[in-house]
Amino acid sequence: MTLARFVVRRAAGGLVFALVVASLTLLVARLAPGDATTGEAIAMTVEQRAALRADLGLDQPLLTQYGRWLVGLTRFDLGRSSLFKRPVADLVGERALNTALLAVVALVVASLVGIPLGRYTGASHAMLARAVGAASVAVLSLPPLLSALLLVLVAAHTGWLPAGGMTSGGLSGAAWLADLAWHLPVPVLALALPLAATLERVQSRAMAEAIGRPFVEASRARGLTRERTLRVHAWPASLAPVLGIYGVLVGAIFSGSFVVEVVTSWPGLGRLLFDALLARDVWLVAGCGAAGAVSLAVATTMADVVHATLDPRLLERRG
Amino acid sequence: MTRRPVLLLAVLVLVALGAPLVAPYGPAERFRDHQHAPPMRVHVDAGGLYAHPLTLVDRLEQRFDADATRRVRLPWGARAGAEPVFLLGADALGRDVLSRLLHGARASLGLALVATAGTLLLGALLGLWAGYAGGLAERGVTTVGDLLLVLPLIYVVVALRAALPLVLPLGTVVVALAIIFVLLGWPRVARGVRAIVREEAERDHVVAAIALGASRWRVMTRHLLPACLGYLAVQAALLVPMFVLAEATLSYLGLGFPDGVPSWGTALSDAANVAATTRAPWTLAPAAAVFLVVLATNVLLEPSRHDAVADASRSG
Repeated sequence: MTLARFVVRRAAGGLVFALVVASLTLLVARLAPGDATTGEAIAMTVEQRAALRADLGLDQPLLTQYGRWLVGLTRFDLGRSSLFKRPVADLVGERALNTALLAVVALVVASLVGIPLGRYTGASHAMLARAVGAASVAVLSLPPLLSALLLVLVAAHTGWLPAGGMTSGGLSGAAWLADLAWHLPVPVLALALPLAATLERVQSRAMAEAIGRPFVEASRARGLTRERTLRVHAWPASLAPVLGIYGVLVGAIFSGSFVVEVVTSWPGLGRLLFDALLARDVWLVAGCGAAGAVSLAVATTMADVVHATLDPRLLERRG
Repeated sequence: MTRRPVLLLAVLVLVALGAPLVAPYGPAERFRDHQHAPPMRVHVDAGGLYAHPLTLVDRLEQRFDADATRRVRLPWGARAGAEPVFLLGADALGRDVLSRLLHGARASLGLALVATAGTLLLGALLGLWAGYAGGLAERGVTTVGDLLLVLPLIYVVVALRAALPLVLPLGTVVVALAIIFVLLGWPRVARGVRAIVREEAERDHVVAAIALGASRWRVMTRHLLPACLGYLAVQAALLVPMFVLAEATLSYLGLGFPDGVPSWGTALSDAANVAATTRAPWTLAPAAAVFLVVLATNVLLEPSRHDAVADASRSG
């Protein structure tokens, strides 16, 4: 199987996956008791409520609603949010971007911290290496819910960093960017810490395993220095399982970002979905489900493509 | 490798059953003069452990002074002294954090353990069926399982729970959450069981049992299931912290246990108010409990690095 065929096949699968997930979220949201008008029902007459339901398209049979939603989907029209009184597509796009920013920065930070640390602890028997390994198991046990609560507490206690939100508002240009960077560390760290620990553990184990292989011993016997053996021979050989773990990390980032967004009030997709679910805003729920599923499919495909490019054996195994 | 997860599970069951019994105060017992009282320091004298009682100095600022001239015994044993002792401090309503933590263990661990048992049962059954019957059953179970495995768990849990009425009585919440956890957790178990069963079914002792006319049920329960026990024990030890965390997240969001029920998640949602938590960080104690459960699993199940090195050098 060629790489191109692999990508096409994964993309098609991802599209079907997104459609199934979005349809299921729509179904779950629609079957939930109450609808978007329930919260305001007290303040309305029966006629007003019926008119509002008709306006939102909630008075139609379930299948008609689903059909209309599918037709809209072909034009990227995801309906209107009753909670925010805006088109769902705009809202979801905006928030998905915020989540992507959080996730990408966290993943980069986690990789930059976790992989070098793991490379070190996997190759060393020093006390420091053991201490780093132990710390990593401890951080690994600090899921995003706990790390976010802890970091928010530290931020609020010391006053060094803002405890929540994404921007202070009322800023533009460079000031806005600086403000954004100012708000980033707490949510990014909350998300990145457990990821970095996971990467450190995987890299450490892979490195220790690679060092035990005969070709590493052979290169040492050929007279290469320890540093060069590790960099040129052991480390590249240890990367396969590390690259493989990125596909798994995508799921962890999705779950983690949801929790982090809620705890640190980051205006991302997870928070939007949560608000939409509570407000029974069905079109927004379905839109979030669709956007989430598409991003999940894109992210896993990307992780697999990178993995397959660097380790072509993967294509043969899947073919 | 089987002994460690079983030991861990046994300890967690004991904690769930026993922790509320050693709690010094009731979960809803309020001490109105001790709202946000800090943790008290424990001292030792000839008569055992004691602490200095706290007296409220400023109700508005919630400042307390320890009265060094008087001593109160710890609240276990003789509870003659009327003055309360807060080893982990008190929360915003003047309830003992330690007592709520211990009572919360029953709700949090109990739900997680029940959901784990259900997940193991459903996962093992589906895995056995898929692995042994093969064909359409196998394809169906793996396809649905793979779809569920790809989905980020917490999103689905929240979406399913939010689809139910938001306010439910306690019994219904427990059943609903357990069912949601089982429905989402089973593929993790079924995947491995199916793989083990497929391999085991080719073995001579299984082939012999079939040739001797053993029924399907007998082959599955007597010959295939025992091969999966070690795997099931490890999965159980991995599922418990996952479900504890899911409960904590749901309760934090207000979708888990009802407000009055002491659980680690509801305690965290009480502590969600940043201003109050900054003043009384000890109210985050349940986060430490969740952390300990996850840490215990990670430490016990993490294959030690030296084993990995030893394995590698032996094979190399």
